[in-house]
Amino acid sequence: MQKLHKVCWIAGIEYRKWLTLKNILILLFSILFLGEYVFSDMLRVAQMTGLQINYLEPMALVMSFEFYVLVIPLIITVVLSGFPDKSAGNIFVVVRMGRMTWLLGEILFGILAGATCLLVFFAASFVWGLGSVQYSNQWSPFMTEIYDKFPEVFAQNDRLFLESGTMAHGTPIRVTLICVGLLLLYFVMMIQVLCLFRFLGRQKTGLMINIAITVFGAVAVSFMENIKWYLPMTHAIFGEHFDKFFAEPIVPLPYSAVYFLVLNGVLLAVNMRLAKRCMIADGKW
Amino acid sequence: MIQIENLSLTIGKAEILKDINLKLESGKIHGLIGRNGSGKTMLMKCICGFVHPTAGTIQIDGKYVGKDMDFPEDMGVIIETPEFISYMSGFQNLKLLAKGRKRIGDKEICEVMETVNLQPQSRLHVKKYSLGMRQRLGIAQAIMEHPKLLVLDEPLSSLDEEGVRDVRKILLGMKQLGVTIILSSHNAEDINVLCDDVYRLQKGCLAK
Repeated sequence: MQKLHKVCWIAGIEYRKWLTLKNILILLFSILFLGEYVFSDMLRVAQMTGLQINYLEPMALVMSFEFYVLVIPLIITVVLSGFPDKSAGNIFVVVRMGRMTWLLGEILFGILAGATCLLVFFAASFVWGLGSVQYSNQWSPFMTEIYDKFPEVFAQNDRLFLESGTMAHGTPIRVTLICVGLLLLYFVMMIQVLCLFRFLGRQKTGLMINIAITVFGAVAVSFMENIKWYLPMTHAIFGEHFDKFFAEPIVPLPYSAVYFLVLNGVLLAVNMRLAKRCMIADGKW
Repeated sequence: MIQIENLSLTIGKAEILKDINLKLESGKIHGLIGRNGSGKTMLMKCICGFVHPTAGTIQIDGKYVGKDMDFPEDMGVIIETPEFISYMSGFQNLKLLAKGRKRIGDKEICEVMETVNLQPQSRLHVKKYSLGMRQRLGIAQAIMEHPKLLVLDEPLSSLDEEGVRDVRKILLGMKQLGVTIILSSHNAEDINVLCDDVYRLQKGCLAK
């Protein structure tokens, strides 16, 4: 219990500091991007067709569509670019705890920061759709009836619609929660990659590797069928677990959970080893 | 007692510290002097457990740093420029730090802030603090939990004359209480007034 308190204490301090960083402003730009490119277009098409959208569908789309899902991890990588802070300015925090407690606190902070970014995107999607969305736990006519009623509109705007494979396997709330869970597992992996390279004194390499894993993963999802399930990005996309037309399961969701648990477990073990020996207050080096 | 044996530190190709042997008695103020880049700060970081030496050991009261403990227990430290949460007051920052160990309460925080001549009631955010005020706050965080060991890297830099006088008084008072203090300074007067022992570092080597 005492240890948990200390881990939460470190995460709390880091979180407070993170809120004042300038690179958090990139969240605003990404909201504008998603708002203009996804949310506004969805609302425009909904208005044009007279079909209402469910309040969860814009974010479910962003978290489960292979191209959009790229945006959030890249934003997280940028907003956590200085992670974890082991500079001399942070030694007041580090010195009050052991190295392991500090590492766990930093990882918890990373998860909190990732969850905050998701919450901000959720809030933005709610604000965007205020007054013109339906609040229920059923997929909307916009998603389920558009193909039958307005096939031309569907063909022109197919990037704005969830795939049947996504909708056939749960209600909007269930699908959204699973999407959030998978993305958080992906964030934990990214956070640990940042940690690992920071401990090795290669902070920029960590950033580049995270960007490469995310971008390559997103490309592989569309174009590299034979290797895509080796990559974490595929496991983080809910829709990829099901066939796009027949909605048959391709890879069961628990497999992806196990994949991330093993990957994150290995990374945590390596990070714990490195944290024991890494240099703290390393501004000069 | 701090015992440093055959301590060497190499980073990349640079030899930062070379075969340092040192015994620092408890309850004294030990000064480290030397030119920029002589290895003072790195030696302090090794003592604090922030940097692991390439060779050699550091024992504090019989326990090895980096082996028996991550960092020396009951240690207060300032190395380089202290950073605080900018949108909080000095008191709020110290209160937040104190929550980690849960050893002291608001009363002690107020007392320590008054000791370093900062006003605990002030709502002024740290981002509006002068460099000297930040340094005082840094000293306050280092001493607030009554440490047995204080490691201070140039604690008197960026303080005005009155501030220097105050901090000297605080450090001498802590020495009376049995606290071991290791401090570095470029100011010969500070070293002369405060230190019981002085060690000079030259290109990573020790010369008393």
